[in-house]
Amino acid sequence: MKSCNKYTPKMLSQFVDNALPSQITRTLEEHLTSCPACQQTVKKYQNITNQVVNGIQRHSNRMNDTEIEKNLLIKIRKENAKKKWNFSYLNGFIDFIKVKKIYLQMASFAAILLLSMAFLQDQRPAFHTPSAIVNSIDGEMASVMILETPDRRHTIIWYKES
Amino acid sequence: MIKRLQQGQEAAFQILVKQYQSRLMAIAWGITLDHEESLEIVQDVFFNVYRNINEFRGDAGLMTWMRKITVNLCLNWKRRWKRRFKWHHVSLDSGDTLSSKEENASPESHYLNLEMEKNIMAHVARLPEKIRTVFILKTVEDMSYEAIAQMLNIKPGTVSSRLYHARKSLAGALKREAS
Repeated sequence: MKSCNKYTPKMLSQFVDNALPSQITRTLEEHLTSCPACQQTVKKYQNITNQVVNGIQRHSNRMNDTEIEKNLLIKIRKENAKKKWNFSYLNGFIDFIKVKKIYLQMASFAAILLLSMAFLQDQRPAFHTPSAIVNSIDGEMASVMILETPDRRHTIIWYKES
Repeated sequence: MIKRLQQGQEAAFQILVKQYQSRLMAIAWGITLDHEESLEIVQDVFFNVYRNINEFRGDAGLMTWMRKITVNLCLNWKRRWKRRFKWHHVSLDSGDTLSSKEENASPESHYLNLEMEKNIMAHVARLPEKIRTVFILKTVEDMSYEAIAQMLNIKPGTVSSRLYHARKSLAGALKREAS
């Protein structure tokens, strides 16, 4: 068969995919009516596409319909069980509060607990003695002593009464 | 449907699976040509949807989203490596199940069709993965060049070239076989 140089095989491939601009598609369609070479190429490409689609379709039809669904449901249930397990204690506690309707009591208890913890945190051991004397100055009118404790520095000033 | 899926209703997921599994399976098998792996991939796609359905914004269709997940999973590098090892034993034997169109065909033409399909699928398997992916998305899903390009992050011109290359290779292989 005589070959045709008017349209490249790549263009014919695009034509099969309906990816050419409409003007070119129309001209090519007209050309196809009178060109056996291009007709054959287009037909060959279309046949390939059909055969592949059928092959894949045949394979998909062989698939067991319920297999994916069954396995997926098992996976979903496992995932849900995992989520539930993680929060089961917390959920149980919340359910208990809801059933007993003891919101106010629980809130008061939580507040007391928080305040007690805050109060206990402030009960640090007191330092009654200075940890160090940084400096001391004795003057005629007054004396000054600078002490350092773990928290801060203290300055003590004595004035002579006479 | 999406609302019910977002509420985590099992029944909604069952409907979703029934509705889309064969389409996704066709894409996955077309790219991987491995039945077990395709099943695993399609299952993972649905499980991904289950986990992330609340993030689904709905600006693209559900199928577009699932198709993208399917292709990404098929092209996942770990899976690709596994597949390469398995490929030495790949079998493209298709069963004798008839499609509705062929049920009325004569036994001879049915046999010839099956043989043709078998041959062509064997050649499809030999196409480079990049080319096969584009070819499958076009033939099975009939996606536009732009949509394929966007999904695979390539240019529409590359899609066109890969499709042409696939057709040329397949036509050449079939011609060599026939002569």
